[in-house]
Amino acid sequence: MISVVDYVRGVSEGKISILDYVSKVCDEIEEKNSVYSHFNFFDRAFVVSQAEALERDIKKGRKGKLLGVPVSVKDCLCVKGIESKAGSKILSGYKPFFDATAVAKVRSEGAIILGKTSQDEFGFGSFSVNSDKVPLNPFDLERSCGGSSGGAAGFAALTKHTHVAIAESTGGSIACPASFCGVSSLTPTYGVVSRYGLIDYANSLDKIGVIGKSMVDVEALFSVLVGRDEKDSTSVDFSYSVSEVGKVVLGVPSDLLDLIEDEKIKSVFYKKLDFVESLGHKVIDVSFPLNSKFGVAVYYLIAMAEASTNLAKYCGMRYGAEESVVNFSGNFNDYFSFVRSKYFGTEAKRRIMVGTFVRMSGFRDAYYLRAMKARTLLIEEFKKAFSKVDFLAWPAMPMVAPKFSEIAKLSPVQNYAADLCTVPPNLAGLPHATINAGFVNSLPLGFMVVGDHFVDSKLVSFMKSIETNGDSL
Amino acid sequence: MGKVVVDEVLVRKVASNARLLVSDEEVKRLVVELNDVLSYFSLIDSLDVSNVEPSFQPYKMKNVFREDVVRNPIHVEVSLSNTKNKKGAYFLGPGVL
Repeated sequence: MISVVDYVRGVSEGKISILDYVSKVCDEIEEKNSVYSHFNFFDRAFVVSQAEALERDIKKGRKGKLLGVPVSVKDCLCVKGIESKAGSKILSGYKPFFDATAVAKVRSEGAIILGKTSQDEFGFGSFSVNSDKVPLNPFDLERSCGGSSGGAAGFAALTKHTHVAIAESTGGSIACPASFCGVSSLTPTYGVVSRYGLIDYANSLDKIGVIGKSMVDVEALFSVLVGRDEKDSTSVDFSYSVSEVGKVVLGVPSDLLDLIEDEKIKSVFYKKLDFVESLGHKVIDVSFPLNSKFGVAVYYLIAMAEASTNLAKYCGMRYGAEESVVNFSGNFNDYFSFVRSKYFGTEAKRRIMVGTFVRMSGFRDAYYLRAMKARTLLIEEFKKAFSKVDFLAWPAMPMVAPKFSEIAKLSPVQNYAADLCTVPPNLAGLPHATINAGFVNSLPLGFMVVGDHFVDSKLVSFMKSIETNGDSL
Repeated sequence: MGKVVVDEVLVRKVASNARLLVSDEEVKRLVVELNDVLSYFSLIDSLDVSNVEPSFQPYKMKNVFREDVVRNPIHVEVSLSNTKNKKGAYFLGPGVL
């Protein structure tokens, strides 16, 4: 398997035929997707037509940073003319007439879009089980890929070919599946990557990021995604540059580590930390009580409140699932309620209910507004830590990939508690990256490093410097 | 705030506000689940947030404006391409009454 950079070099030098290569990737997907369900949408003709057009363009001198690179796109990002439903039945059949900015950017650099990867409905989940298509973990078919970008991480781990995935995280939907599938990932600072064309979950939390076989591959894709986009007013000016890292001070929050019950998880994490320290970096303990104790509750309050308003637009009109309005007996409220009840899944309904409740008159200040104030305190705790250290590090997840039979036994609150490690940086909009730390009972575990706002370039450079051959699949 | 007890009446009211139809069975399940979730959320009651400003974004952002000029509008046929509920150049909606 060659890296993205080497692949592009091979294409540019005429040593790799894009058409031959993507045909092999298509063979692989056709052979395995019926078992693994990593793709919600895949069509060989769609892929091959892109490759043929690109080869014609290359003969005319076309260049690009991702020339011929196979890129998968999480289902929640719009791809022109391709069903884009964010894993939800309520968007069945929706074919956007535009590309998300992230998709347009990789296309402009010559990438080949493979298809749409499977996910929890609207990103509502940590195990990718809240959807019709449940992606299976390449390490063990009885286990979850993680969520919600489960298909993206699963295919990144499974494929024998050069590939990178555009994913999305609201509360950990990139770091979690990357950890469970033993691949590398980056969730950027909020606003660094345009979200135009993203089927949103929670506006103040959503971030588009990258999953790949290695940090070098993650870097190749991330570097073309960044920057201000006038179509997304929350996007910011940012350009990626390879940074000199030097020796860093790494903070480890013992408050958070204390909440991880599985000693094997901590053991694998500390072994990787020892390796990092052996490279000359300094490791110190940092205080992190607020994020450790309150992070999950604050996150879910805000996420569900925002999700309940975002999902209000899905009502069986204009696009997505619908009924015949001519034959429907009842008024518009009856129609909207009927369609929403028929097509939203169980977890989506639960989050809409909770989110609606915490915004209702009489409860808003006590729940939603209070959570927004608590978020300020959690962000300040991060800022205080970053006055002493360059980065923070802890295990990406408090567990390795669970079995589906184990997930089925979890209550909603137990499900949400699994996000203990991933919600703090997501809540604060901070960049965080993961590489594989090692294995617990032959299952991978992610090593997560968190940086201050807008240190994404330095973070990527640091992660590349501590990722060793064999960390990821 | 004090502990909120979610009962079937409150669940039905929330579902109505959220434009969701809920069966009797779903109401019973949601009463339990919402009580569990809200009980978990009450954890943040112990945080002192007096004199703390809310963070509606992860960091302070400036409002962004663009020139108020007409750009490529979406063509009517394209706008209507994702629905069967249409008539002429319009979306066809459910009845008001």
